[in-house]
Amino acid sequence: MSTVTSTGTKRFASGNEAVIDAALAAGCHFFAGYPVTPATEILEAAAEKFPANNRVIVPTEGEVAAIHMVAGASLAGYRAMTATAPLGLSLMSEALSFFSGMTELPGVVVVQQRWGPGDGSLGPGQDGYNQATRGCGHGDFKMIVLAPKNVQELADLTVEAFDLADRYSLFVLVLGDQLLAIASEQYVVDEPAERPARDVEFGRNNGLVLPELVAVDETAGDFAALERVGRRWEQKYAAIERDEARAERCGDPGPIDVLIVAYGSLARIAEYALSQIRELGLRVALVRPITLWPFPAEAVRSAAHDSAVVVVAELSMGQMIDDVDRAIGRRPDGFVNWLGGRAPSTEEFAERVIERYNELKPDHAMKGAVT
Amino acid sequence: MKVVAEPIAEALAPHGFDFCPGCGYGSVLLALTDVVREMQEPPVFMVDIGCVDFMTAHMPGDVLMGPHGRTSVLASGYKRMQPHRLVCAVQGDGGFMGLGAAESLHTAARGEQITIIVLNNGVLADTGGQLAATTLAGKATSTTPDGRGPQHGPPLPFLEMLSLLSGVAFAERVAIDSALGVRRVRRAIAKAFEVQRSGAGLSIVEVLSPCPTHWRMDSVQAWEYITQSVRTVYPTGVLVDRTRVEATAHDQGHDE
Amino acid sequence: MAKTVGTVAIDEHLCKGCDLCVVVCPEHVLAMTDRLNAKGWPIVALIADGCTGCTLCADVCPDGVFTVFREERAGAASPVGARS
Repeated sequence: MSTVTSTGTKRFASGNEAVIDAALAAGCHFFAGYPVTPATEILEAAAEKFPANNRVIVPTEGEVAAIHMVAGASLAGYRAMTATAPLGLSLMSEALSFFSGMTELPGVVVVQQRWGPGDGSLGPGQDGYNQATRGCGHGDFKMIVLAPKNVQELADLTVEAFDLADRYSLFVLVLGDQLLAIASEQYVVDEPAERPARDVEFGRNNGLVLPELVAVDETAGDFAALERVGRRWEQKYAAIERDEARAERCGDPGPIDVLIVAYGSLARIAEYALSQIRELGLRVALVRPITLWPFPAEAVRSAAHDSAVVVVAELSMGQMIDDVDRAIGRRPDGFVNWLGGRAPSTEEFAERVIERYNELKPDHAMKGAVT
Repeated sequence: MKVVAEPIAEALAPHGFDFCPGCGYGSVLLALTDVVREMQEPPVFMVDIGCVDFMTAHMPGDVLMGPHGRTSVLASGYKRMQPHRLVCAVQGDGGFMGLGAAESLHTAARGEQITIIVLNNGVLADTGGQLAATTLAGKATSTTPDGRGPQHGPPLPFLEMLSLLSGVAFAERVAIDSALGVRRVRRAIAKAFEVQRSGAGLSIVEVLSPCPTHWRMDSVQAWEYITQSVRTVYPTGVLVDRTRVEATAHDQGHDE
Repeated sequence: MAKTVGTVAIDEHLCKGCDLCVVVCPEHVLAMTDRLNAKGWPIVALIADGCTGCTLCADVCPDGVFTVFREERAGAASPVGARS
């Protein structure tokens, strides 16, 4: 999935800066945001580049203002986005329920995860998974969640997020982490492109501003009408689940000894660790969900089907593991994790996976230190 | 010779403060500690997220840090249930006047019996120096590379606005831009705690604090920036003192 | 009126080289040196006689670097700069 789809010039910059280059290329015309580690540079890059490209950028007093302004800009017909960390996403939850879940406005939120509840750590985490994939707010609603593993994919998925948001009329989250945010890598992205406003009809069909409930006073008690809306949403989410789930598998073809399931930066570390695991005589593969919602259950299930052991790896106490559990029909055999904002080296990652494998298959225990 | 001034070792322990050179926060912390050590029982402190949270390890009393901007309401809840304790919220301008503006407004409207110390350095410093509600017109920050322009509105006279509310018993603005200014910080903080003790209502001390790092100046230039620029928008002096029938000339109006 | 006589002790570990004391000292007896402390900051030093123990340096220092001493004199007026 790191196919470079653009024909632009090669650049070298951090993930956070790449997000803004991608947004400009995607025809995003509005950015509102508030600084929060590790997403602050996205706001600063927008402040630097948006005005020169005829786009609007508002540094707001807080995340609540930012997300509401994004909703307003989207209602005005323009591609709009903000960027934050899970801490700020908490503040945006109500608005996302309203504007993605109810009003079905398109929008993009890039979320760079740092670990921990409260003020947390400044290091990378993946404990924003549940927050992002379970709708992040009240009510029955979902947002598409995309999980890049490197700066190029962060740029590509940011562009694609705007397309998906428009296609399905909802907010799309691009879920990165602190490593992706600050790592500087090569990437290619198209030149900035302007995009005319789309036509937005208030209170008419096409799914905006609850057309079925034009006059809330009249229909607040009309449970049949409300159910019709709910069923429409149910079908919308079912269609996304059917058509947009995405994953990438790499490593040895089946049958294998160990399947690792990981996403984002940790999946990239896992990828580098595969050769070290293989050196000890294990057949190993990695399946990496790229959409976290909809979760690519079928891809994970079929990768796990011919693996003796399934190990889930996360920078959290275990959130994606529950989705893996549901996908493969049983509790994954092993779980390796890191907390506190710490991410492992490839050596440590490989060692921990081997440890788990040895615990599970003592008769086939792999010996020897990982070099 | 005898000692006529010495540092407050317990505030500085173990290795001094973590603020940038020339930052005003150290001076405020020393002044606050100087006031508190003369009390029988120290206040309970609530601290916002921002450069203020580097004060946490040095606060002269029990301290809790809460979500950004909500410090005043956290403090209010505590004070309502422990009215005999002095409660002090310490925030930056970003939290007090920006993200937490609604909370600050209603704390003042309700006349909560707490003391708020606001350190106003005209930027969101902790995250790298972005535009704040208090940034002066024309000032470059990391989110206003060409300077604060009309699209951002003028800087917000927040303390002036809050002082209109009868729940604000005492509001004073002081500036760390001279030795005299630093001394006024201590006096204002002491007065604010007296107001809290009297039960008259909310007491607020706003300290204009230099931020050489994000103002992109040296410490001396930062002092001058406060004297020559910041104070034209944010004048120092007692904004309101509802605890006295007549404020004296000494307290009222702008100094210097 | 004769000036008072004083001196200062400087805690070099705490100094951050911010220069405020140098600028504020009315007797110009403080200056930044080239020496760096363990944290990498330049350190201030007393470079001449003439300190009056006025405490302005201690007042403005945000980092608690100064201890200020002053000689007592019989019949002297109220010390300049005493902390109120």
